[in-house]
Amino acid sequence: MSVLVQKVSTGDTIVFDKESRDLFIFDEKSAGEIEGREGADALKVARDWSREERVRHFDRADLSRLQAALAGVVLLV
Amino acid sequence: MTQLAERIAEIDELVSALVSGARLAALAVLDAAAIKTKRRRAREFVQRIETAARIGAGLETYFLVKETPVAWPPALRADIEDALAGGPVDSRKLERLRQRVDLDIRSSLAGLEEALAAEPLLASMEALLAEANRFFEPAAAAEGGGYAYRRPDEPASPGQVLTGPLAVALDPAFEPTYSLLQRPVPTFGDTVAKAVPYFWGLAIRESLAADLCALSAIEYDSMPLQFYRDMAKQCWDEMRHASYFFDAAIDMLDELEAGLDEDDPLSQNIRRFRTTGAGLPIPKERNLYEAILNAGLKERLILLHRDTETPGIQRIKEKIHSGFCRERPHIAEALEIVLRDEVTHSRFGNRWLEYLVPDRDEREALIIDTELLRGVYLLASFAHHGETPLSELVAAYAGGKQAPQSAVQLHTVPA
Repeated sequence: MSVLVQKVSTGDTIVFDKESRDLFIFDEKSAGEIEGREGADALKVARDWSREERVRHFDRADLSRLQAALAGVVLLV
Repeated sequence: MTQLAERIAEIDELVSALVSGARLAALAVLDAAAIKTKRRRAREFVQRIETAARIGAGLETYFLVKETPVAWPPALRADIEDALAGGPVDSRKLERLRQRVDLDIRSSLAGLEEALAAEPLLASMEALLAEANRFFEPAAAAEGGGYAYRRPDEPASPGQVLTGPLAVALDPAFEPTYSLLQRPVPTFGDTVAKAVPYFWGLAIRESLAADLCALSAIEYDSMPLQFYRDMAKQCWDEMRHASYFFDAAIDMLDELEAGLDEDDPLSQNIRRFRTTGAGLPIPKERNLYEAILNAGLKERLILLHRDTETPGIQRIKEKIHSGFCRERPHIAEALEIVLRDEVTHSRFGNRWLEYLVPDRDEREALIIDTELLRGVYLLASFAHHGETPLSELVAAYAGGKQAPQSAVQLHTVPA
């Protein structure tokens, strides 16, 4: 199972399921719960917490809309 | 024979120490605020890594030397982690580390000089070692680090071994005044009013590209030496571009001001810049450094090299043929150089993405994932400089809110 678990500079931790392309965001307060977890284990915690509405969940359609909404923000040129 | 093998191992160790010194120069790029200082440090980064590469190649002329991937000596890495523990780089600690590594290199060079003269096949290395020597000023107060530069026999897989500085400083000429969520960055146009703010905005975005290269060179171990050479070359190129566009904007400030109303906010910004050296407006999110910091190496190669630099080449060609550049051939000439540089950067991106993800299908999947997450990386930068938490920003923009659309659209948007 391919899962990205990454702490970002805001203190949040993102968990991204590369198969379904679902994204879960653990805020700074709850990030400790996911720390040290990887793969299926991290994803199970993310899905369980999402059902309990303790973390934010975004599906592929959400991420596609986000991608389109920010397409005009350029990194270079 | 044993002595010769030992000399070769010592030279290889020297190359490894020189690479460590070059990577510390990359960290110093991230520690610099002023564009001119960043440019000077980027130059040092590329000069040092090229010297290391030339010595390595000199050795390979006569001897079979095993290609060993680059890695920080563990003790030095621990000291760098300490220098980064506070978030931004601790400049004093970094300077001390640089002096210590330089003293290690000096002592290694001094030890080799005499030994090389006695070995005819290595005597040709003397000139290269003399070239290495020119970097180092005597630093009486510092002690050598005594780091163990001898590389392990078994190379590890490429991977992230450090996290770069959480924040980088801004050139004091700039003042963050507006959010990219309120209005886009100025785009290029045929008038001075369009081109000048575009140029100074481009200067900070070029410096982001230099930051990306410096960051990737310090954070990732176990890549081939060529990767660090490519990152150093690009870092230096980008800082040359940043410096050029910044100077070009400053040179045209009079012309810009002459066309503005006295009470135009931009006119006030320019007057303040003239009196205090600060005030040129840029986005509150600065150059979006955090978006790049939060992405991994493969994602950076996709977001910046593949998705931005490659299509950007066409934009540069359009600018070269613009009316603005026809009237200012010196700017067109500079853009021609930028164009050539960007083509090489685009190749670097492809080369290292293919190296890290050789399977084509896997690479395609990674590109889709990274482009889906691009918005999250960008919003991490907005959350960093604003009040709204990351998850709320993601929810708002996934829910239909739109960021201002720049005149430049480079990213594939889903149907």
